[in-house]
Amino acid sequence: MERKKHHTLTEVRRARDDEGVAISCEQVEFWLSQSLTQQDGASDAPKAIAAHIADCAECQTEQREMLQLSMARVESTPDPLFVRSVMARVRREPVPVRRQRRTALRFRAAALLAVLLLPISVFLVATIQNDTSETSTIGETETARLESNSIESNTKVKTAAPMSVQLDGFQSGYDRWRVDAQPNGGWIPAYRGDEGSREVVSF
Amino acid sequence: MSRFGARAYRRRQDDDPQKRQADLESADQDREWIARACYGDERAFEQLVTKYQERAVSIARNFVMEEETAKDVAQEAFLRVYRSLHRYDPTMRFYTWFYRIVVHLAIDHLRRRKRTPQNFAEPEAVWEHPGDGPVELLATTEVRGHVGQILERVPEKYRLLLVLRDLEGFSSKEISEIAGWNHATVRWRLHRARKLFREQWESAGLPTEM
Repeated sequence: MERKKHHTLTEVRRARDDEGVAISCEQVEFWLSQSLTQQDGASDAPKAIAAHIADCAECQTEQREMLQLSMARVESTPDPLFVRSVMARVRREPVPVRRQRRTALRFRAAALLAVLLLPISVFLVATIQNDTSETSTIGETETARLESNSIESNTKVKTAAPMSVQLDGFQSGYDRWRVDAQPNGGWIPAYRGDEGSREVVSF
Repeated sequence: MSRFGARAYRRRQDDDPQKRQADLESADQDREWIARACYGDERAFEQLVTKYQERAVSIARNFVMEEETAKDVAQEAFLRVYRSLHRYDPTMRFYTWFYRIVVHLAIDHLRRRKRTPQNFAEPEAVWEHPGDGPVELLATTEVRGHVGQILERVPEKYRLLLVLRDLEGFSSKEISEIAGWNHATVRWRLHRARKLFREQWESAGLPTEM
Protein backbone atom coordinates (compact mmCIF):
# COMPACT_ATOMS: atom_id res chain seq x y z
CA MET A 1 0.00 0.00 0.00
CA GLU A 2 1.33 3.34 -0.97
CA ARG A 3 2.21 5.45 2.00
CA LYS A 4 0.41 8.76 2.03
CA LYS A 5 2.52 11.84 1.92
CA HIS A 6 1.90 14.24 4.73
CA HIS A 7 2.42 17.89 4.10
CA THR A 8 3.84 20.62 6.24
CA LEU A 9 1.65 23.59 6.98
CA THR A 10 3.55 25.65 4.46
CA GLU A 11 2.75 23.11 1.79
CA VAL A 12 -0.87 23.00 2.90
CA ARG A 13 -1.15 26.76 2.65
CA ARG A 14 0.61 26.92 -0.68
CA ALA A 15 -1.55 24.18 -2.13
CA ARG A 16 -4.73 25.79 -0.89
CA ASP A 17 -3.92 29.39 -1.81
CA ASP A 18 -1.84 29.06 -4.94
CA GLU A 19 -2.69 25.82 -6.60
CA GLY A 20 -6.20 25.25 -5.37
CA VAL A 21 -5.42 21.64 -4.57
CA ALA A 22 -7.67 20.02 -2.01
CA ILE A 23 -5.80 18.71 0.98
CA SER A 24 -7.09 15.42 2.29
CA CYS A 25 -8.58 15.08 5.72
CA GLU A 26 -5.92 12.56 6.66
CA GLN A 27 -3.21 15.04 5.85
CA VAL A 28 -4.89 17.67 7.98
CA GLU A 29 -5.51 15.12 10.71
CA PHE A 30 -1.88 14.13 10.67
CA TRP A 31 -0.78 17.71 10.69
CA LEU A 32 -3.11 18.58 13.54
CA SER A 33 -1.72 15.74 15.59
CA GLN A 34 1.81 17.07 15.23
CA SER A 35 3.29 19.67 17.49
CA LEU A 36 3.37 23.02 15.80
CA THR A 37 6.83 24.28 15.11
CA GLN A 38 7.99 27.75 14.31
CA GLN A 39 9.15 26.77 10.86
CA ASP A 40 5.67 25.56 10.07
CA GLY A 41 4.34 28.99 10.87
CA ALA A 42 2.37 28.18 13.98
CA SER A 43 0.58 31.49 14.00
CA ASP A 44 -1.06 30.79 10.63
CA ALA A 45 -2.04 27.23 11.47
CA PRO A 46 -5.60 27.85 12.64
CA LYS A 47 -6.56 29.68 9.45
CA ALA A 48 -5.31 26.96 7.14
CA ILE A 49 -6.94 24.17 9.07
CA ALA A 50 -10.16 26.07 9.62
CA ALA A 51 -10.32 26.79 5.88
CA HIS A 52 -9.94 23.12 5.13
CA ILE A 53 -12.58 22.07 7.60
CA ALA A 54 -14.98 24.71 6.35
CA ASP A 55 -14.61 23.53 2.76
CA CYS A 56 -14.50 19.82 3.41
CA ALA A 57 -17.73 17.88 3.66
CA GLU A 58 -15.99 14.96 5.24
CA CYS A 59 -14.57 17.02 8.04
CA GLN A 60 -18.00 18.47 8.65
CA THR A 61 -19.29 14.93 8.97
CA GLU A 62 -16.57 14.19 11.42
CA GLN A 63 -17.47 17.34 13.27
CA ARG A 64 -21.02 16.06 13.61
CA GLU A 65 -19.73 12.79 15.00
CA MET A 66 -17.60 14.63 17.43
CA LEU A 67 -20.69 16.55 18.41
CA GLN A 68 -22.55 13.29 18.95
CA LEU A 69 -19.71 11.96 21.05
CA SER A 70 -19.49 15.16 23.00
CA MET A 71 -23.25 15.02 23.61
CA ALA A 72 -22.75 11.57 25.05
CA ARG A 73 -20.35 12.96 27.61
CA VAL A 74 -21.72 12.91 31.12
CA GLU A 75 -20.22 15.31 33.58
CA SER A 76 -19.68 13.68 36.93
CA THR A 77 -20.21 15.48 40.16
CA PRO A 78 -18.27 14.95 43.39
CA ASP A 79 -19.90 12.26 45.45
CA PRO A 80 -19.02 12.31 49.17
CA LEU A 81 -20.71 8.94 49.61
CA PHE A 82 -18.40 7.42 47.04
CA VAL A 83 -15.34 8.78 48.87
CA ARG A 84 -16.65 7.50 52.20
CA SER A 85 -17.35 4.11 50.69
CA VAL A 86 -13.85 3.85 49.22
CA MET A 87 -12.25 4.93 52.48
CA ALA A 88 -14.33 2.41 54.44
CA ARG A 89 -12.95 -0.36 52.23
CA VAL A 90 -9.46 1.10 52.41
CA ARG A 91 -9.58 0.92 56.21
CA ARG A 92 -10.30 -2.78 56.00
CA GLU A 93 -7.16 -3.25 53.89
CA PRO A 94 -3.79 -3.92 55.50
CA VAL A 95 -2.21 -0.55 56.05
CA PRO A 96 0.59 0.04 53.54
CA VAL A 97 2.73 1.49 56.32
CA ARG A 98 2.94 -1.93 57.94
CA ARG A 99 4.15 -3.40 54.73
CA GLN A 100 6.59 -0.54 54.39
CA ARG A 101 7.89 -1.00 57.90
CA ARG A 102 8.12 -4.72 57.44
CA THR A 103 10.11 -4.18 54.28
CA ALA A 104 12.32 -1.65 56.01
CA LEU A 105 12.93 -4.03 58.91
CA ARG A 106 13.80 -6.83 56.54
CA PHE A 107 16.16 -4.52 54.74
CA ARG A 108 17.84 -3.45 57.97
CA ALA A 109 18.17 -7.06 59.16
CA ALA A 110 19.72 -8.04 55.84
CA ALA A 111 22.14 -5.10 56.03
CA LEU A 112 23.14 -6.00 59.61
CA LEU A 113 23.66 -9.61 58.65
CA ALA A 114 25.78 -8.53 55.69
CA VAL A 115 27.92 -6.32 57.93
CA LEU A 116 28.41 -9.18 60.37
CA LEU A 117 29.12 -11.72 57.70
CA LEU A 118 31.56 -9.53 55.79
CA PRO A 119 34.63 -10.01 58.08
CA ILE A 120 33.80 -13.68 58.46
CA SER A 121 33.56 -14.15 54.73
CA VAL A 122 36.79 -12.20 54.19
CA PHE A 123 38.53 -14.46 56.70
CA LEU A 124 37.07 -17.55 55.08
CA VAL A 125 38.06 -16.45 51.61
CA ALA A 126 41.59 -15.72 52.79
CA THR A 127 41.81 -19.11 54.46
CA ILE A 128 40.46 -20.89 51.42
CA GLN A 129 42.93 -19.07 49.21
CA ASN A 130 45.71 -20.14 51.51
CA ASP A 131 44.44 -23.66 51.53
CA THR A 132 44.04 -23.83 47.81
CA SER A 133 47.63 -22.92 47.21
CA GLU A 134 49.86 -25.85 46.70
CA THR A 135 50.35 -27.52 50.02
CA SER A 136 52.50 -30.41 51.00
CA THR A 137 51.44 -32.03 54.18
CA ILE A 138 54.07 -33.73 56.21
CA GLY A 139 53.16 -36.67 58.30
CA GLU A 140 53.36 -36.78 61.99
CA THR A 141 56.81 -38.21 62.03
CA GLU A 142 59.24 -36.14 63.88
CA THR A 143 61.37 -35.51 60.83
CA ALA A 144 60.20 -35.59 57.26
CA ARG A 145 62.11 -35.38 54.07
CA LEU A 146 60.77 -33.51 51.06
CA GLU A 147 62.20 -34.49 47.76
CA SER A 148 63.00 -31.70 45.36
CA ASN A 149 60.54 -32.95 42.77
CA SER A 150 57.64 -32.95 45.15
CA ILE A 151 57.66 -29.26 46.06
CA GLU A 152 57.60 -26.13 44.00
CA SER A 153 58.47 -22.56 44.69
CA ASN A 154 56.37 -20.98 47.44
CA THR A 155 55.13 -24.35 48.53
CA LYS A 156 53.58 -24.28 51.94
CA VAL A 157 54.53 -27.13 54.10
CA LYS A 158 52.00 -28.01 56.67
CA THR A 159 53.02 -29.97 59.69
CA ALA A 160 50.68 -31.61 62.08
CA ALA A 161 53.06 -31.15 64.99
CA PRO A 162 56.28 -29.33 65.76
CA MET A 163 58.91 -31.13 63.76
CA SER A 164 61.97 -30.74 61.61
CA VAL A 165 61.51 -30.35 57.88
CA GLN A 166 64.38 -31.31 55.69
CA LEU A 167 64.53 -29.71 52.28
CA ASP A 168 66.79 -31.58 49.99
CA GLY A 169 67.94 -31.30 46.38
CA PHE A 170 66.26 -28.09 45.35
CA GLN A 171 65.64 -27.29 41.75
CA SER A 172 67.83 -24.66 40.26
CA GLY A 173 66.60 -21.34 38.88
CA TYR A 174 65.41 -19.69 42.04
CA ASP A 175 67.43 -17.27 44.04
CA ARG A 176 65.48 -17.85 47.13
CA TRP A 177 63.27 -20.73 47.79
CA ARG A 178 60.56 -20.32 50.30
CA VAL A 179 58.77 -23.03 52.12
CA ASP A 180 56.07 -22.21 54.60
CA ALA A 181 55.45 -24.79 57.22
CA GLN A 182 52.59 -24.68 59.63
CA PRO A 183 53.31 -26.28 62.91
CA ASN A 184 50.28 -26.11 65.11
CA GLY A 185 48.42 -23.77 62.88
CA GLY A 186 50.93 -21.02 62.14
CA TRP A 187 52.73 -20.55 58.84
CA ILE A 188 56.47 -20.23 59.24
CA PRO A 189 58.63 -19.36 56.27
CA ALA A 190 61.69 -21.40 55.53
CA TYR A 191 64.30 -20.31 53.09
CA ARG A 192 66.60 -22.48 51.14
CA GLY A 193 70.26 -22.00 51.26
CA ASP A 194 72.55 -22.25 48.26
CA GLU A 195 71.29 -23.76 45.09
CA GLY A 196 71.53 -27.46 45.06
CA SER A 197 72.48 -27.57 48.67
CA ARG A 198 70.88 -29.62 51.27
CA GLU A 199 69.09 -27.81 53.98
CA VAL A 200 67.27 -28.82 57.04
CA VAL A 201 64.75 -26.50 58.47
CA SER A 202 63.78 -27.14 61.99
CA PHE A 203 60.69 -25.91 63.70
CA MET B 1 -17.03 24.15 20.45
CA SER B 2 -16.11 22.86 17.01
CA ARG B 3 -13.65 20.04 16.50
CA PHE B 4 -11.03 22.47 15.36
CA GLY B 5 -11.87 24.89 18.11
CA ALA B 6 -11.62 22.19 20.76
CA ARG B 7 -8.23 21.10 19.50
CA ALA B 8 -6.91 24.59 19.22
CA TYR B 9 -8.13 25.26 22.73
CA ARG B 10 -6.46 22.10 24.00
CA ARG B 11 -3.22 22.99 22.24
CA ARG B 12 -3.35 26.51 23.62
CA GLN B 13 -3.82 25.03 27.06
CA ASP B 14 -0.84 22.70 26.55
CA ASP B 15 1.28 25.64 25.49
CA ASP B 16 0.09 27.80 28.35
CA PRO B 17 2.95 28.20 30.87
CA GLN B 18 0.46 28.81 33.67
CA LYS B 19 -1.29 25.53 32.92
CA ARG B 20 2.02 23.71 32.72
CA GLN B 21 2.94 25.15 36.11
CA ALA B 22 -0.43 24.08 37.52
CA ASP B 23 0.11 20.57 36.13
CA LEU B 24 3.52 20.37 37.76
CA GLU B 25 2.13 21.55 41.08
CA SER B 26 -0.72 19.06 40.82
CA ALA B 27 1.74 16.22 40.12
CA ASP B 28 3.89 17.28 43.10
CA GLN B 29 0.80 17.38 45.28
CA ASP B 30 -0.11 13.85 44.18
CA ARG B 31 3.37 12.59 45.00
CA GLU B 32 3.20 14.15 48.43
CA TRP B 33 -0.17 12.57 49.13
CA ILE B 34 1.09 9.19 47.97
CA ALA B 35 4.19 9.47 50.16
CA ARG B 36 2.02 10.33 53.15
CA ALA B 37 -0.45 7.54 52.37
CA CYS B 38 2.47 5.11 52.27
CA TYR B 39 3.13 6.02 55.87
CA GLY B 40 -0.44 5.34 56.87
CA ASP B 41 -1.95 8.81 56.41
CA GLU B 42 -5.53 7.97 55.42
CA ARG B 43 -6.43 11.60 55.02
CA ALA B 44 -3.84 11.93 52.25
CA PHE B 45 -5.31 8.99 50.36
CA GLU B 46 -8.79 10.39 50.86
CA GLN B 47 -7.66 13.58 49.16
CA LEU B 48 -6.45 11.53 46.20
CA VAL B 49 -9.82 9.79 46.03
CA THR B 50 -11.67 13.10 46.20
CA LYS B 51 -9.50 14.59 43.48
CA TYR B 52 -9.78 11.73 40.98
CA GLN B 53 -13.18 10.19 41.74
CA GLU B 54 -15.16 12.14 39.13
CA ARG B 55 -12.83 11.37 36.27
CA ALA B 56 -12.43 7.74 37.30
CA VAL B 57 -16.19 7.18 37.43
CA SER B 58 -16.62 9.04 34.15
CA ILE B 59 -14.03 6.91 32.33
CA ALA B 60 -15.47 3.70 33.72
CA ARG B 61 -18.99 4.80 32.80
CA ASN B 62 -17.98 5.35 29.20
CA PHE B 63 -16.90 1.73 29.05
CA VAL B 64 -19.54 -0.06 31.09
CA MET B 65 -22.41 2.37 30.39
CA GLU B 66 -23.89 1.96 33.85
CA GLU B 67 -23.52 4.40 36.68
CA GLU B 68 -23.43 1.94 39.56
CA THR B 69 -21.13 -0.50 37.79
CA ALA B 70 -18.86 2.41 36.90
CA LYS B 71 -18.68 3.38 40.55
CA ASP B 72 -17.82 -0.22 41.47
CA VAL B 73 -15.05 -0.24 38.89
CA ALA B 74 -13.69 3.10 40.10
CA GLN B 75 -13.80 1.92 43.70
CA GLU B 76 -11.93 -1.25 42.84
CA ALA B 77 -9.34 0.86 41.00
CA PHE B 78 -8.76 3.00 44.09
CA LEU B 79 -8.30 -0.14 46.20
CA ARG B 80 -5.83 -1.56 43.70
CA VAL B 81 -3.92 1.69 43.85
CA TYR B 82 -3.93 1.63 47.65
CA ARG B 83 -2.58 -1.91 47.70
CA SER B 84 0.14 -0.99 45.20
CA LEU B 85 1.15 2.40 46.54
CA HIS B 86 4.59 1.11 47.44
CA ARG B 87 5.10 0.15 43.79
CA TYR B 88 4.25 3.61 42.45
CA ASP B 89 7.03 5.05 40.31
CA PRO B 90 7.31 8.76 41.21
CA THR B 91 8.81 9.55 37.81
CA MET B 92 5.41 8.81 36.27
CA ARG B 93 2.37 11.01 36.57
CA PHE B 94 -0.01 9.48 39.07
CA TYR B 95 -3.14 9.98 37.03
CA THR B 96 -1.87 8.13 33.95
CA TRP B 97 -0.99 5.16 36.17
CA PHE B 98 -4.33 5.35 37.93
CA TYR B 99 -6.42 5.75 34.76
CA ARG B 100 -4.62 2.82 33.23
CA ILE B 101 -5.86 0.70 36.13
CA VAL B 102 -9.39 2.08 35.69
CA VAL B 103 -9.38 1.30 31.97
CA HIS B 104 -8.06 -2.23 32.49
CA LEU B 105 -10.65 -2.97 35.17
CA ALA B 106 -13.44 -1.59 32.98
CA ILE B 107 -12.32 -3.72 30.04
CA ASP B 108 -12.07 -6.77 32.31
CA HIS B 109 -15.62 -6.08 33.43
CA LEU B 110 -16.81 -5.88 29.82
CA ARG B 111 -15.14 -9.18 28.99
CA ARG B 112 -16.78 -10.87 31.95
CA ARG B 113 -20.11 -9.38 30.93
CA LYS B 114 -19.71 -10.73 27.41
CA ARG B 115 -19.22 -14.21 28.82
CA THR B 116 -22.39 -13.95 30.88
CA PRO B 117 -24.96 -12.12 28.75
CA GLN B 118 -27.54 -10.21 30.74
CA ASN B 119 -30.23 -7.69 30.10
CA PHE B 120 -29.11 -4.18 30.77
CA ALA B 121 -31.11 -1.13 31.39
CA GLU B 122 -30.93 1.83 29.07
CA PRO B 123 -28.31 4.41 29.99
CA GLU B 124 -29.56 6.47 32.87
CA ALA B 125 -30.66 10.00 32.33
CA VAL B 126 -28.53 12.44 34.24
CA TRP B 127 -29.83 15.92 34.77
CA GLU B 128 -26.61 17.76 34.06
CA HIS B 129 -27.74 21.33 33.95
CA PRO B 130 -30.71 22.68 35.81
CA GLY B 131 -31.58 24.72 32.72
CA ASP B 132 -32.04 21.65 30.55
CA GLY B 133 -35.62 21.02 29.68
CA PRO B 134 -37.18 17.58 29.29
CA VAL B 135 -36.84 17.70 25.49
CA GLU B 136 -33.13 18.45 25.62
CA LEU B 137 -32.64 15.82 28.27
CA LEU B 138 -34.50 13.24 26.17
CA ALA B 139 -32.43 14.10 23.09
CA THR B 140 -29.19 13.90 25.04
CA THR B 141 -30.16 10.59 26.61
CA GLU B 142 -31.07 9.22 23.21
CA VAL B 143 -27.73 10.25 21.73
CA ARG B 144 -25.92 8.70 24.68
CA GLY B 145 -27.80 5.48 24.09
CA HIS B 146 -26.84 5.48 20.41
CA VAL B 147 -23.21 6.32 21.13
CA GLY B 148 -23.08 3.58 23.74
CA GLN B 149 -24.50 1.03 21.29
CA ILE B 150 -21.99 2.00 18.62
CA LEU B 151 -19.09 2.00 21.06
CA GLU B 152 -20.00 -1.54 22.11
CA ARG B 153 -19.57 -2.66 18.50
CA VAL B 154 -16.13 -1.08 18.16
CA PRO B 155 -13.15 -3.29 19.11
CA GLU B 156 -11.70 -2.60 22.55
CA LYS B 157 -8.51 -0.91 21.45
CA TYR B 158 -10.44 1.58 19.28
CA ARG B 159 -13.11 2.04 21.88
CA LEU B 160 -10.46 2.93 24.42
CA LEU B 161 -9.23 5.69 22.13
CA LEU B 162 -12.67 7.10 21.41
CA VAL B 163 -13.48 7.15 25.09
CA LEU B 164 -10.23 8.69 26.25
CA ARG B 165 -9.81 11.18 23.42
CA ASP B 166 -13.28 12.17 22.28
CA LEU B 167 -15.28 11.64 25.43
CA GLU B 168 -12.70 12.39 28.10
CA GLY B 169 -10.57 14.87 26.19
CA PHE B 170 -7.14 13.43 26.99
CA SER B 171 -4.31 14.42 24.68
CA SER B 172 -2.82 11.72 22.48
CA LYS B 173 0.39 11.91 24.54
CA GLU B 174 -1.54 11.25 27.73
CA ILE B 175 -3.36 8.39 26.03
CA SER B 176 -0.06 6.88 24.93
CA GLU B 177 1.01 6.83 28.61
CA ILE B 178 -2.31 5.41 29.80
CA ALA B 179 -2.59 2.77 27.10
CA GLY B 180 1.12 1.96 26.91
CA TRP B 181 1.27 2.53 23.14
CA ASN B 182 3.63 4.87 21.39
CA HIS B 183 2.39 8.24 20.23
CA ALA B 184 2.31 7.39 16.54
CA THR B 185 0.27 4.24 17.21
CA VAL B 186 -2.24 6.27 19.20
CA ARG B 187 -2.66 8.79 16.37
CA TRP B 188 -3.04 6.14 13.73
CA ARG B 189 -5.48 4.06 15.75
CA LEU B 190 -7.48 7.15 16.63
CA HIS B 191 -7.97 7.89 12.97
CA ARG B 192 -9.02 4.28 12.38
CA ALA B 193 -11.31 4.36 15.44
CA ARG B 194 -13.16 7.42 14.19
CA LYS B 195 -13.55 5.86 10.80
CA LEU B 196 -14.98 2.71 12.35
CA PHE B 197 -17.31 4.78 14.51
CA ARG B 198 -18.55 6.64 11.46
CA GLU B 199 -19.11 3.41 9.53
CA GLN B 200 -20.96 1.80 12.40
CA TRP B 201 -23.04 4.92 12.93
CA GLU B 202 -24.08 5.03 9.31
CA SER B 203 -24.66 1.28 9.03
CA ALA B 204 -26.97 1.47 12.04
CA GLY B 205 -29.03 4.03 10.15
CA LEU B 206 -28.67 6.57 12.88
CA PRO B 207 -29.29 10.20 12.08
CA THR B 208 -26.20 12.19 11.17
CA GLU B 209 -27.94 15.46 11.97
CA MET B 210 -28.69 16.16 15.61
